[in-house]
Amino acid sequence: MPLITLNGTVVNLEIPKVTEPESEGIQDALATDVVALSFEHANDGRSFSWAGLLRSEGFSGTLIGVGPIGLDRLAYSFQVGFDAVQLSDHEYAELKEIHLRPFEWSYQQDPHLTDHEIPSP
Amino acid sequence: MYQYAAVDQNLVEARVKQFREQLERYQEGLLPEDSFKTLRLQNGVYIQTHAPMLRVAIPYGTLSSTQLRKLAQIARTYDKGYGHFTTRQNIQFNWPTLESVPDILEELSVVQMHAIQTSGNCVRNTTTDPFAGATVDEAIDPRVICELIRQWSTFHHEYAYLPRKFKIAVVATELDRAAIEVHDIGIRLKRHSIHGLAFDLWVGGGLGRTPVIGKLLFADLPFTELRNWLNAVLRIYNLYGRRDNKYKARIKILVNSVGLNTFRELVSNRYHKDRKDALVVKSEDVTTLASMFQVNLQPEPEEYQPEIPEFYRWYKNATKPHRVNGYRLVVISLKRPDVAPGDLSAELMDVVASLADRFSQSEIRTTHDQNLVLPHVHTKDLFSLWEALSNQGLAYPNVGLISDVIACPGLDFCSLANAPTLSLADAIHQEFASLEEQINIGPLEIKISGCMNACGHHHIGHIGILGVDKKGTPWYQLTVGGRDQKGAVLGERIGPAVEHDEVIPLIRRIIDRFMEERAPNEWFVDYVTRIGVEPLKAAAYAIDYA
Repeated sequence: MPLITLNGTVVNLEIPKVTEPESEGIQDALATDVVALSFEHANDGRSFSWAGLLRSEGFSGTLIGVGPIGLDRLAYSFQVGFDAVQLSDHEYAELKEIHLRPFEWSYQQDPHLTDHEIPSP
Repeated sequence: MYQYAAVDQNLVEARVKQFREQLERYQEGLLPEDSFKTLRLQNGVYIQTHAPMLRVAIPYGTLSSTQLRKLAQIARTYDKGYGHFTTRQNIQFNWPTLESVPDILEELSVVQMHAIQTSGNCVRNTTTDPFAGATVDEAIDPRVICELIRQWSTFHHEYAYLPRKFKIAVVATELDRAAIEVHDIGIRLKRHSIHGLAFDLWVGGGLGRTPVIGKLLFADLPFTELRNWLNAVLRIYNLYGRRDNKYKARIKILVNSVGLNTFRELVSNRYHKDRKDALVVKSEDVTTLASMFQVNLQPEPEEYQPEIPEFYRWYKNATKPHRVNGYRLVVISLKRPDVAPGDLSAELMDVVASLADRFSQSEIRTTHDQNLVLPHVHTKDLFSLWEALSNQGLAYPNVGLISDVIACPGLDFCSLANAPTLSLADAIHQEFASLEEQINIGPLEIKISGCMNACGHHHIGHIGILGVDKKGTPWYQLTVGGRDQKGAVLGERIGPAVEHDEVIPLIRRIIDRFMEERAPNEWFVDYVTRIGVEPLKAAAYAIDYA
């Protein structure tokens, strides 16, 4: 199953054993170069928060998402801090620009209204 | 009102394209049912008993007349000519085809509307006081904060796949007209001697299968830290909330299982570790938003009102004090005989839109008890407005009275329901057809849910009615004494469930006993609190303890 990066390119990375920060603690993960976090099913979003937490704790290594992430969660995955995400072969065959970048812009990247362009009333 | 910037518009238009592409993949068999279900829900599309249902967001219950006209047009073009206003201040269309949904979303985007996150396991539409910006004694217009939350939570990369749905409500007055204590997060804004603006953060309230009153997590937090605190709560919930059982997945279960103190510690730790300057609310942002919501009204003397008893009765019941002298808030009851609670035809939507243009700065509000509000009506216009509403059957002055019933769509529309709810709402209208009697009874909220999911908020009704299934037959379980305002209380079961035709006689016996025993001007719910459930049970089930 291909690993996809933000640009939609396939990378050859060895996927390490999946980390379970809840039982293993996050200190080990923070000390590792490559961390793999798993999504159990298509509605499971817990690893979005483990990824967010690791990044805010200063993790600067490579973060890989594995499991049924799907085309429709790619953009969220990269935004939260994953470097590469697993797709099925069938999903990879369907991959389009709209899946990588459904939105040109996000409120989370730029949470300040005064930085937006507000048209005059 | 909030006006979209180019970036907001860009985002809703991109969402339409995204959903169109997702639907195409689903129709081509490239997207499994389960995955598509999650995506359609996050766009407000349910598959119901008769057809797909589309829930459209009305952020914090504020609509412009242009937006209401668009909803009317959608009701005419894609539905059966009406819409249903919900308890989350949104609107639902019960009859669109799945294929038409992207077109409807495109039409909505033209008037700065959408169906984003109106369902699914994500942060839903933030609700607030329907009188926001018009009522007295507000710490700030709470819609300013709701808009900040709307932006922060829309397409949030980390919180789009939570264990379960997540509902936030905000108030900025002592009186709670948004039921913040029964929300996953409740925010009470207040003036503060040090922070200027501060908020109390309530957490873990909710109705549904396991009703829980929320708990005060932190008091007097500086308002500027709002997004950082929300982030800490949501992150803890997303990390530790249960995903193995959907009935145990709401944040209330997590808070109760770890205990409030531990939960508080977890959130506090995350707040201190994850806090970002970028999430601090800038005072310029607040000023910009506040100016967008601000309506400039000059104080004027109240104008003389004609002494017509029908008008006066409506004035007393359906209009409320405004922050600006000379103005009133006007509630339009959508609880009329022979009409499902919260339903409004496309024609009447157009009528209300025109009245908002003539009399209320082109603004309309939706309320969590499924009525509408014209928030800024000059007292000199009240009589003309009353006449216009009366001509359309929209001046029924039962606001807050026994026939102002909240009900979910029930078995007639919803595939989850155990029992019909709309026929009961209608039966209440018939039983209490006399407006004089309703006024004598005084404030009394009846809330009806067709199943345990409690979309009709039955737990917090002064009288709550829950549809239950008994061997394939709908029965109803009644509770009394629930409240949704500050110091919220869950209603107590009054006795065994009864069949459909027994519900109204049972309510009648309860009301008769209340009318015999009440103190002068005592509200029904205060009476229940005073005497307790047992004596009422005896009356309700005609039990003779003598």
